[in-house]
Amino acid sequence: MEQFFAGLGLVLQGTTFLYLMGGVLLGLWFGAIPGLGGVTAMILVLPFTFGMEPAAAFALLLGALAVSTTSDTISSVMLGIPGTIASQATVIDGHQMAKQGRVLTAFGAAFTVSAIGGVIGGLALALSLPIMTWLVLTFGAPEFFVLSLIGLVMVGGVSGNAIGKGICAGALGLLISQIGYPVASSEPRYWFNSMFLIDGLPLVPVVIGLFGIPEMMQLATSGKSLATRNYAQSEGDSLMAGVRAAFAHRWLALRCSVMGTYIGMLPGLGASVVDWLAYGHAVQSAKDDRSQFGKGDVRGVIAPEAANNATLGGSLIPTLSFGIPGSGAMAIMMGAMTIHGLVPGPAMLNENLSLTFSMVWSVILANIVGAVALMLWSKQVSRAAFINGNLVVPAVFVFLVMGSFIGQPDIRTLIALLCIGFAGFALRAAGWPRPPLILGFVLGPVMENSLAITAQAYTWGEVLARPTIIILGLLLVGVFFAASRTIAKRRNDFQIELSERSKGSLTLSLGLALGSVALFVWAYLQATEWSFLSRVFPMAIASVGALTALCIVVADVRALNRYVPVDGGDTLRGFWHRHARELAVFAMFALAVAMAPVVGLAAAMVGFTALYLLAWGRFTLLTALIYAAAVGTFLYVVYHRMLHVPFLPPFFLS
Amino acid sequence: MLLKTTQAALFGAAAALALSAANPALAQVIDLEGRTVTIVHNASPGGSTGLTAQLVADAWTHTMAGEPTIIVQSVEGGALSRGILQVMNARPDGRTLGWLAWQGSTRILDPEDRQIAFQDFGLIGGAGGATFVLHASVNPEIGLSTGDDLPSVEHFTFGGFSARSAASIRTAGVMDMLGVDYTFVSGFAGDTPLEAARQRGEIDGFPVTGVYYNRTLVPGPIADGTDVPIFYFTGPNEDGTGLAVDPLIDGVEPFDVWYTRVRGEAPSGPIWDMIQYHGRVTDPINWLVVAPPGTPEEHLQMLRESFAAATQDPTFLAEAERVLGQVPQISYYEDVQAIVDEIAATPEDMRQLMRDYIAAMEH
Repeated sequence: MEQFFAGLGLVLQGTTFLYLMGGVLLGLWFGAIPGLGGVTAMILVLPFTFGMEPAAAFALLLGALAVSTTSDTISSVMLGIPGTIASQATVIDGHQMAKQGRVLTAFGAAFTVSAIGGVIGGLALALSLPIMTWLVLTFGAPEFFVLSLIGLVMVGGVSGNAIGKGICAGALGLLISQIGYPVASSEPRYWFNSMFLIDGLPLVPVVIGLFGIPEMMQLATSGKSLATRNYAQSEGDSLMAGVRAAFAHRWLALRCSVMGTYIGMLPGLGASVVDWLAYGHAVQSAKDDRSQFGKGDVRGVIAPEAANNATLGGSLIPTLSFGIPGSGAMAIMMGAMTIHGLVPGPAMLNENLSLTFSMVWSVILANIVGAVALMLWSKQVSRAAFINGNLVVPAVFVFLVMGSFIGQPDIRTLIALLCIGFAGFALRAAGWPRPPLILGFVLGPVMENSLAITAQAYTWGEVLARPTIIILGLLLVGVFFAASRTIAKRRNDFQIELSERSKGSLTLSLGLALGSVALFVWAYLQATEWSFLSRVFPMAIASVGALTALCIVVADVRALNRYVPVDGGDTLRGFWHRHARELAVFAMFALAVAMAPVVGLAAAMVGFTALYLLAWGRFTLLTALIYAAAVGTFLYVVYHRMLHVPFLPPFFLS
Repeated sequence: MLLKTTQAALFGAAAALALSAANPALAQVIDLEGRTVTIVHNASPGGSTGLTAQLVADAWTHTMAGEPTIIVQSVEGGALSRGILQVMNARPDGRTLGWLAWQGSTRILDPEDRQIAFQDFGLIGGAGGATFVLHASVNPEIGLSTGDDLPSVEHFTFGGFSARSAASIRTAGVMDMLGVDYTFVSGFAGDTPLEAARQRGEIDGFPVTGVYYNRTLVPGPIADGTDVPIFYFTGPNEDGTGLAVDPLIDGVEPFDVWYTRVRGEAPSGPIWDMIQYHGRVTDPINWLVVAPPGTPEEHLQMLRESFAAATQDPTFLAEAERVLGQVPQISYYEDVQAIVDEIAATPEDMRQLMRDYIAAMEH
């Protein structure tokens, strides 16, 4: 206990606390911008920590990281684009709340449970210190595989009433995750002889493209603000309403915080998947009306936001106890530990215990300060939901492009962003849920890795004799039957994708299903030539995917045959007309990306901004010029000077 | 006449300017004063690659002509190839350099379309040579109580990141030399996940880097008697024979010394040739320090000299000792060029032997 408070003393002493606050400010800023996030903030400040005292260095780094999963809520709620990987599930209900003019309620609930989750994660870290080595050694490859399977069963929870399409979308996500080098072979898969694909598709363009591009296409064509109500109509919306909702659902928040902590402990899973698991849990554990999930249910915000802030405390456990960095952020933490001569393991519990506790306190204080700061600012931020959508689109598109480009500075990254974005648009228009695709994409590598290690290192008998496998197996069976029962009783009466059912959407869905059948069959045939461990996982995915897609084909054909048009406009031509303007916006996005290698990326983004405002938004020349100049300045200061992004040069300088 | 001479001189000067602009290799040392030079590395941020690059960058900024600002940027992915290709395709204007984890000795096994012509880079130096220590759990069930018990073990399961790792290929080769049946488990992303897997019993042992061995294993599992070192792989002796003794690895023998002692005969044959080959070309350099192809020769010369000065600077050496625990092994241009040349000229039978091992280790 003495060491626990000695750790607090280390954080509160003079400059260390200032560094913590500096980290919090940076983390809040970077978390709010799609594609940046806490890891980028850590990379930015890491070189400055070389000469600092260890407690100050970790306060700065953890301050920047801890709050990025709080401020990422802003982008998820306001724009429908995950601010970071950890806030994907918040989009589903949070963005609907924004559209209903309930931004402050969403913020109040999210920031409250973020602080609670962060504190619980920090305390769990402190309490787990004596047993953390045991915890890490208990979970081997077989346990990871079963845990991933439990995660995959959550597809049911994030598919709403389109369970078949959800499973098929999940299989598509798993299949996409198989691109590139497998775990146990040196022959890349599905890579089309492109070095860009040899290591698989990058995560950021997939996540922000799938949600962000379609959302901006819709906002650009709506001609309205983000919120469909005006500011005056949403007066019932307040931060306190959100805080009250958070406390009303305190047990959900608590359960999801604990879930976040322990999932965070598992290297490779962590923040990228825990929000989906928490969302699925919120749906499955709801005893009353579930019909509002996907339409702005505050529980859909509370669950993922409580869970994602708790993962940091959990992910520090394997990092400190064993030096196993389960994520990019933890790899940077490991680097910082190395710089300061710290060796993970028992030393962190003996001679460096007060420093370890200072990290716990840094996480706790950063989460509280971050949440309070965002509460204070959220009223100003929420007003952005009521401004003209055409003022939002160009800046957000630039963020999407730069957020994708920063991780992999290559024109093909932007092409991937557009392709995924178009796929997201098609899925939404066809009524296919997008979250399972992300869930499959994130879980795929973890599942295959753990399956490959299990197959190489264990026999069946050894796997089945492990007590943790027996416990997790029972848990898997329980979750599976709960999900099956829910589906059987048709209790999943909520929609994840709020697309209207029409002749056009059914036809598009049929087209997607037929395309999926062809894709899965092709993927299966490709895999037959590969070595056993290379082919077993993609072949299993392709088999399940093809069968599910065939079922969708049958269901859609039947539905089309029985379909009675709602009105005269419910035709294929009407469907095309409803979406033609969105496709025009997509064409503008594509043109901006196509111009990047010609005039340079920075010029293409500035030019797109100006032309969009003039030609599409019908703003004055002065507005367009001022806006474009601001975008150009932001690109120069943040992405060029601060983050050293290697912009594509114009062709004449290449 | 004067006019004609002046015109001719002006024309000549313009032509020379145009020629030098068109062919940078003819230009002098590039003026970098007030500029920013980016060192691209191809691993994830925060790891040893980025840390070592940052330390060298901090010293290099004082020795490089023009004393430019030097920043370090991570371009990871593509099985290390994204960062390599970024430097390969960068303009040779002195403002981009590469700090590249290269795995040259196993990259030559790739199909033709995936080969990377490292010899086209402007080579500057190299850094981060490694010693790999094979160690294993003390496990009476498989009959392993000391390192010398390995030849009598019936089956040995060892782990690694991938079958293409030179340390893994050599370990598999040693098992064949000893007549020990083995299983290779791939998919571990570094020394610490491998060590956790060893402690969980998923693998019996693995070849670990000397730094991790000294920092983590010696004071931990080796001190408490649950783990034993067996031997290590390192570079050749100065006369080119055998494997050199690494003074930093206390109480453990190089592979050939260990083998001779436990088997009563010196190692020989193609597998031993392969072990020595990797000792010569893989172990001395983990990271190549390069400039993009086409960088002017005078500028390259300046970079080689300033890199050598930076890495011999006492401040750098002290900082490296403090941050990394030991000063990384630094190689200079001539040695690096010799290694790149030897790898490019690797005989086909050696390549085939490595391919056979990779095929045998992959499932």
